[in-house]
Amino acid sequence: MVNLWFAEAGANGAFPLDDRSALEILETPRPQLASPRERYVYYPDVADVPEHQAVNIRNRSYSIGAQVDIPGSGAEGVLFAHGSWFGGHALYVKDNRLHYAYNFVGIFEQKVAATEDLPSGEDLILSASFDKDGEDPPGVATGRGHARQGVNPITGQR
Amino acid sequence: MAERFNGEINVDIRDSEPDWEPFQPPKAPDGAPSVVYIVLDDVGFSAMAPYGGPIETPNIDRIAADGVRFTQWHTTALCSPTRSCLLTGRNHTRNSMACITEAASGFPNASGTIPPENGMLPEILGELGWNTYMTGKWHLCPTVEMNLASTRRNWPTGRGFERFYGFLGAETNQWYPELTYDNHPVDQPKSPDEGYHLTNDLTDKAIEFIKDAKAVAPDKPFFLYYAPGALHARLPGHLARRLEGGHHPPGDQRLEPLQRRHLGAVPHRCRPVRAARPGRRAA
Repeated sequence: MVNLWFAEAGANGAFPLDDRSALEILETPRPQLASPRERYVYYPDVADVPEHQAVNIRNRSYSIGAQVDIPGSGAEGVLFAHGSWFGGHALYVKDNRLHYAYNFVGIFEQKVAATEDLPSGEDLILSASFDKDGEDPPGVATGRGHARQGVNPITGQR
Repeated sequence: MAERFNGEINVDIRDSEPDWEPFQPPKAPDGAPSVVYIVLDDVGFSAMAPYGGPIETPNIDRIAADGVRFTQWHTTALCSPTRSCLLTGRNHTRNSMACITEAASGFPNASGTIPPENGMLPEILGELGWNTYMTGKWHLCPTVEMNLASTRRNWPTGRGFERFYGFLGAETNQWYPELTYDNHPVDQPKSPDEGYHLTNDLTDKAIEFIKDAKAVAPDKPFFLYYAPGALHARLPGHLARRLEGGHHPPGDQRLEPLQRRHLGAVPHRCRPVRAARPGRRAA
């Protein structure tokens, strides 16, 4: 009986058997269409980028910047959003301030906001950053987040 | 050109004889039936009325009364593997779908990529003269191919479906879905405030696909793979309220005697395992 099982299992592609934990299985490295890079550029009004093929910001320092023109007061809305209630992050303008929200696997939401009112002008950079200073528990970054709004470091405009 | 050209070719077309036969599109045999797969996601054996369940399904009851209700079958109890079996008639490991596509492990039995030589029903029926439509959940491409830069070889349109409207992954929000129409993303036609729910949308599109072709060729049969994902995500509000108020929730242990009575489907010595709670889904 045992031998018969192995013979049938072999003939039908049952091997290798996989009884690893769900976490181990999901963390298995898998092919990506583009190799990881230090800078990702996303354009307005394009199709959603699935998580598996998007920038991986987990357990590392990072910064997100949106290049915008703000002609006057009253600007509002989402500049960048990725994920959903199971985890994700969003950079947005509300109540004349820049905000950044980070939803950690749906159980813990962190928010930072700019300390000054939104400037106006052309070619401004609205950005959020996270500086990792450790891990707790292992594999989960701890650190500080910032939301910044103002000068474009490339063009120097404000 | 599948068949031999039996006309005659000379220098002048007036002296030549055409033969259309080799160029005809495939035609199903006369009287060939249309085939509809209704694949419900995360709907338990116990859920629907024909199996003793509390969810009223008058149309399914009608089909069941005129057909066969199975009480024994093999299942993989996971999404992508089951779908691969239903569409190929092969064992899931032979389809390289040992687990869901997101859990692919890079071996021939679990790459998340169904081998092209494992023909799919829409490919086969399409070549035989059926129209082939799909609305709803796919979940049969590996993550590396589930994006707009990817090859479409493992999208529904790449595996034999002439028309597709639905979502590529395991699940999507039922009120704000991530919709794909054929090979590109589209916005939903209206908002939940205007009465939108994905199941209605998928149903309307399936009917539309059928009508579009029936207007041209009423006798041409079709294959429809209709796979809503409503119960994989959160229940629609009105259904959740109905199930909570007076009806048994899915997986309720009180259903077990019901099934036994209706079908003799559950052996007397069987005890139900702890009922799964709606909303907690593996895949």
